[in-house]
Amino acid sequence: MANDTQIVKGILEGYILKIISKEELYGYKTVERLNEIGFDVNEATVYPILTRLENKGYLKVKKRPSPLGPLRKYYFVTREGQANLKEFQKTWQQMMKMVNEVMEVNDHDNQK
Amino acid sequence: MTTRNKVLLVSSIILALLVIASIVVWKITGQSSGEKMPVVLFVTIIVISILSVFVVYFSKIQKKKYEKLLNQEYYEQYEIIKDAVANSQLSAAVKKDISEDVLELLLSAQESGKSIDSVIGDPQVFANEIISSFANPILLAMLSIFDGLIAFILMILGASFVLWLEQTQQSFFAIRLDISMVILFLLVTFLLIPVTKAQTGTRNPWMYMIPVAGGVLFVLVAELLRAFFYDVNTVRQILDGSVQMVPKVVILMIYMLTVPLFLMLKQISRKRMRGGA
Repeated sequence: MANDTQIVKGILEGYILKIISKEELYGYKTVERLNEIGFDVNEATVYPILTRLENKGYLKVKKRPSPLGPLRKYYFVTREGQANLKEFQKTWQQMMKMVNEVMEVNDHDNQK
Repeated sequence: MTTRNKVLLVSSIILALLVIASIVVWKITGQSSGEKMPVVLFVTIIVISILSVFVVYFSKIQKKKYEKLLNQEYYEQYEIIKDAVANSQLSAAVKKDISEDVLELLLSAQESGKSIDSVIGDPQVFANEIISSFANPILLAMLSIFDGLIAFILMILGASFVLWLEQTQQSFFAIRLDISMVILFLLVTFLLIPVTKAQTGTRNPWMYMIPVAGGVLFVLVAELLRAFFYDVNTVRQILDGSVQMVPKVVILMIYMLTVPLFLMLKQISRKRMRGGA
């Protein structure tokens, strides 16, 4: 999935919160996880989202030494982040339901 | 050394040489007209000019410990991002944090064998995305205006002080500045500095020549005006007129209070930014 629309960026925010709520990740590892899932994103897309989520208070960070030298930022979801994730999941479910309903109606009309 | 750094170093050397040449000419012409420049002032300006080249080298050009781990291809792009962030209105702590994060991110990507283009894409867009995740563009523009006002006031006070040092028997409040000098200060603070800062986030290494080019262009325009339009009263006023920028104690107090006031406003604005001061 390409990363060039605001919708995808919004979905990415929610998805990043979800994957970080499951395991502690650092910037580069987050990009890898998203690529494994199928998002065609790079560091240039993901890092600004991580800083935005951190600045909103949805993520907190812990710095630990990395094998490459400089300190590495590990991200964790905060309580506010968890609440936002729940809200995102709820909105996402509603949106999916609405989109599916519209698509099914269109398919039905096309078959006629 | 990257092309970007070579241009930066050369531009800082040219600027230092221009300042030294101006001060030497000033001293020689001053001696012939009977105006003596204090030796302390003469030496201080020359020493500061020479030191500025070393400051540029050690603070901007010399690679830091972990930056040396990036290969040339990665380092060139990292440098653009680092410069764009450094010239933004974010606080020093946030700038340092971002630079360290991006460095770690790039080292991880380099280690995995990715090409820099697949990681960053356009470094300018990447840097702008990061900066805008901390504050909206209106707030950032407002902070730039505060910077311009602070720099302008400091230049006015600095120039008045230097001119007063030449004639300490005269009252500080009687010092007049050339109108052309005041216009130059306005152009430097509100045009040259913001344009140069905005250009540091681009791939073009020649943007470091903007201050030198701006200075040369100013002198050129002034001399062309003198040669062809000196009959026009306004032109004559701009070129040879002078103005009292600090005529009273009250004005001096306003200047001196304005600087900390704007600094305080900047501090408050930065605290309101996401990520804090």
